[in-house]
Amino acid sequence: MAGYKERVAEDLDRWIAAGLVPGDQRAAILATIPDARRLDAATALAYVGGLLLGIAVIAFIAANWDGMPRLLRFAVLIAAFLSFAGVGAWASQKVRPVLSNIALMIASLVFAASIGLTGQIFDIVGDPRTAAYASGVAAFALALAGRSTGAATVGLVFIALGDFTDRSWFSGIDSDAPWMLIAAPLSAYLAMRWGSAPLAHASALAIIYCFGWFAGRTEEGVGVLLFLSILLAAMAAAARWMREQERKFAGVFYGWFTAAALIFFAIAGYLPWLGDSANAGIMHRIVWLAASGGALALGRFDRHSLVSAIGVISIIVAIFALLSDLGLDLLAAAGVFLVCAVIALVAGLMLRQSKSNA
Amino acid sequence: MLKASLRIMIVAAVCVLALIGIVVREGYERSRPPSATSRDISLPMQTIDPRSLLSGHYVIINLQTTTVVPGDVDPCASFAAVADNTSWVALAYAGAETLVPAQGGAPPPYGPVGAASSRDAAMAIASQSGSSRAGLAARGTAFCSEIVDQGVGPQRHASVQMRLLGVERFYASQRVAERIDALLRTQSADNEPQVFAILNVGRDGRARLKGLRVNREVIELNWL
Repeated sequence: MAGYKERVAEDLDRWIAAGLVPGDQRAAILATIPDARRLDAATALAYVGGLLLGIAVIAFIAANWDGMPRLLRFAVLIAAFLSFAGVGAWASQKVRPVLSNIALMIASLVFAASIGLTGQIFDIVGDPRTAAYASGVAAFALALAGRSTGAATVGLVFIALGDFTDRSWFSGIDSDAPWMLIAAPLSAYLAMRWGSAPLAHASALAIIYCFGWFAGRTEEGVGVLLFLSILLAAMAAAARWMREQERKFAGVFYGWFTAAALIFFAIAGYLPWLGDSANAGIMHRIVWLAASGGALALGRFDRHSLVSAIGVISIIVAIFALLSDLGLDLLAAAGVFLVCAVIALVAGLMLRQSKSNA
Repeated sequence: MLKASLRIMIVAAVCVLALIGIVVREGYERSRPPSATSRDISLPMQTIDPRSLLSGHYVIINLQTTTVVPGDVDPCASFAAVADNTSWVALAYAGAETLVPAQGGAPPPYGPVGAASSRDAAMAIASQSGSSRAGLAARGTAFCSEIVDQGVGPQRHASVQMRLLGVERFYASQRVAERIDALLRTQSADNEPQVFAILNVGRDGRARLKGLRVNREVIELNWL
């Protein structure tokens, strides 16, 4: 598959042939596009060699682990952690951000393993939740110190592990708040600031997880779920606005928050609300279908494939839900789909009209 | 603003110091001289399954014991406290009242006599046990269930399952595992092997595993 520069070169040749672009500008235009980084054979071999060396060292230590005195085992752990942190620091100084990011991510994983292995070496049984939280906090500290998105993602995972260890969040029994309430917004901020797509995805999911925790701990299910759905829709709108302002990776949050808003709304429809009236359920499905259609239209309008895909999936699920509700009453199903189709057509025509006026 | 490389090394140093601090603190707590609320004790545990040891190199410390109460007193009356993360277990001396030399350097045997929601309440239960030696309170939970099919007689039996905070598993190397296995194999079917966990109950109420006593032989967990 041709790279971006190659594709632009092909387009340029066509535009020059058509007289759209002066031919003498070709080289100048192509010079503005940086060459894609390519791994040469020597570098690839160096990576493979380094990886194999690391595996060999780990295998050697594992083979002699039982034979080593406890203090030596502990020293090996400390040395491994300090080595990776040291590589991260060195790479940061030499302005090698990718290497620094990877080294700090591995260092944060090694530290998490060190906590568990230290407990094993010295028969110290600690609280598993505290161990997970400590690993998460250390990973975040390394991430902040070295601007490592990998370490921040590791931190997010360990905070989530700590939140779920020995707890039953969604039963409403646990009263204390999860640490993710702090870690998720922090990660989202770092993702936006550092422009990291993986961290943006992870933090968006973490924020949705916080909403899920809030919904799970309350007893007034429907009202809370509808409120959270509206709140998530508002957050999706805010992320969409930030995307229009060309804030990097705001689109990731736009997609995930749209998905979460629809999911929360869908779940709310399956809880008893507005009495036990069957019409309430039908009304919910209609609004759900309309909202899904809206998400699809918005996704297409914004050229946001994730939002479009979410809209399509949501429409399919809503249709299944509606057919399941109506049973074999095909006449009623036809009526509902007719209403939805008319709404979609009218909305499309209005959009087209406003676009032509503009 | 500090340079990124310096910041990374500072964070790494803090992480390492925290780990070393935990190890030093645990070592210090284990070696403290005995006091009114802290000392080394032995607690009976269920027989180690050597196959678990040999395959996984660790064994779950299952602190289960049977208690016998004379007369018609409810044997589980002192275990009514709610078991949660803040509960305490009352431990009382469970050996002979006459002075006998310790076997193989093992600390005196103790057993659970009740559970409470506070340390003071647990100490009060332990002091009512009638033993001449002072009782102890350790953080953890204890569940008592009366054994009804123990024949007739002026006494009632109960099984007590304990879980002390800080005592969950015992890691062993292949060599130690095989040694424990050999010790257990020397027992006949009639003579049930006796296994005790050697613990230090610290001033903070946490129990820390120091070794095992398998059939009167002490296997210490050396840190070096």
